[in-house]
Amino acid sequence: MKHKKKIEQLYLQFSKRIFQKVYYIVKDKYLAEEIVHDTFIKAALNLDSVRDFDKIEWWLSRIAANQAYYMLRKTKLTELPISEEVKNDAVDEDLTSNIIKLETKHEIQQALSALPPDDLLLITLHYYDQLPLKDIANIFETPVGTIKSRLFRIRRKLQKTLHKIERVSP
Amino acid sequence: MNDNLDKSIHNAIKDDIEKIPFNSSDKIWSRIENALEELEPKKKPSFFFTKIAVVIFLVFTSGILLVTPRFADSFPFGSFFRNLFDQYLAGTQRNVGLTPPFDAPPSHKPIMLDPTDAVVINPVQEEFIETTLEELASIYPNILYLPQETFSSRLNKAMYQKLGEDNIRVVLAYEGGAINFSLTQETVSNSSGVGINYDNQDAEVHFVYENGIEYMFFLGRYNIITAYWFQHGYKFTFFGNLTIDQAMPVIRSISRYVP
Repeated sequence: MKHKKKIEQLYLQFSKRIFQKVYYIVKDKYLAEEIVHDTFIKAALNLDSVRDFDKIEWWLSRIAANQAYYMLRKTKLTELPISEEVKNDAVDEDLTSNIIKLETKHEIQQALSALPPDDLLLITLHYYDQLPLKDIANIFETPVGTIKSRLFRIRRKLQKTLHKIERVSP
Repeated sequence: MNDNLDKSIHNAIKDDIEKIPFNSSDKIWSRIENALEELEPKKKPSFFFTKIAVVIFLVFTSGILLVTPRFADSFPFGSFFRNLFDQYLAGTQRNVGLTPPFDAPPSHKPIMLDPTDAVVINPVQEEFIETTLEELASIYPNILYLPQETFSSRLNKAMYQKLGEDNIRVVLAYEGGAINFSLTQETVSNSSGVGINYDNQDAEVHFVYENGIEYMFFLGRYNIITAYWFQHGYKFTFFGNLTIDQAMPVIRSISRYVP
């Protein structure tokens, strides 16, 4: 394999961050390992197409996100019990009661963990990787408008959670 | 509020992500390495080695074609390449041979017509003796072979020659029909193999293998062909001005003469 050395170098440099992001989304160690594996295999096969090596991490992240989204659909992890609305009282109350004494950051982390994996992927790509909406839309194979409305919905959901937390906080 | 929320979300994700341990790095890399090795395309022989292989193959094949003409004749265009090599490498002189497929030819002692023949010290007779079919049949009972298909040609001349005490040579000439030809039947001896030396600019040699018999055809100018083969324990020679396709029905029809 002509790119083996280069891939090894990229793996040493970026595999940890990619694994962490993927694991954060899929919450499954073996699935995350599988996605990292597939990401670097795909990278090896397509390395010739890379023009700008300054953006190689962004490129690898995109592959990993694609793989993660593919795996989520394949394993149907997009349909988690806590899905559409955080307004689900049981969830809200449970979530609220558990995080009531925590700091705002921790509260947000809790709220994020209650999101279904595909929403979490979307949030991570947007807020953490700061990928352009167009690229996120490509990964999700949906129009940019749909991505915008989903982000808006997730933000409102998080806001609601935070408001509730704020209301019940001493 | 919005900016704060965005920043809070970013920080929350960042903190969550960065505290995730990554202990399986080596395990994943080992799997990636294996997968990359499997994806490695099988090494093709380099163009240089391919060329060398082609040259060796050609030299080897040419050698076979050159030294074994009969082998060459059994392949499509084999004769063409063989002739090409002959022309450019070995001149145009050719040697081909046909050997009898059996070791011990049947011995049929001829019955002498004249008692004086019985006391001939040297039975080898250089001259052909003209005779009739009936007389030949009485001299060589049950060993004469005649063609059944003659394309309306009729037996014009029958001759025999005594080559030794036990050896015969019979020549039958057919004329008057669509084709003229002669058939020679002779006893197979240890030196009965057929060898031809010829110039391939003027002639060709072809081999036909049919029903376990190998026929060697020498094609000369003006459609004159001579066919040699071994059958029924004898060596036969067919001579005529016709093509192989025309000759084969005559040759195939040869069977033992029953008066």
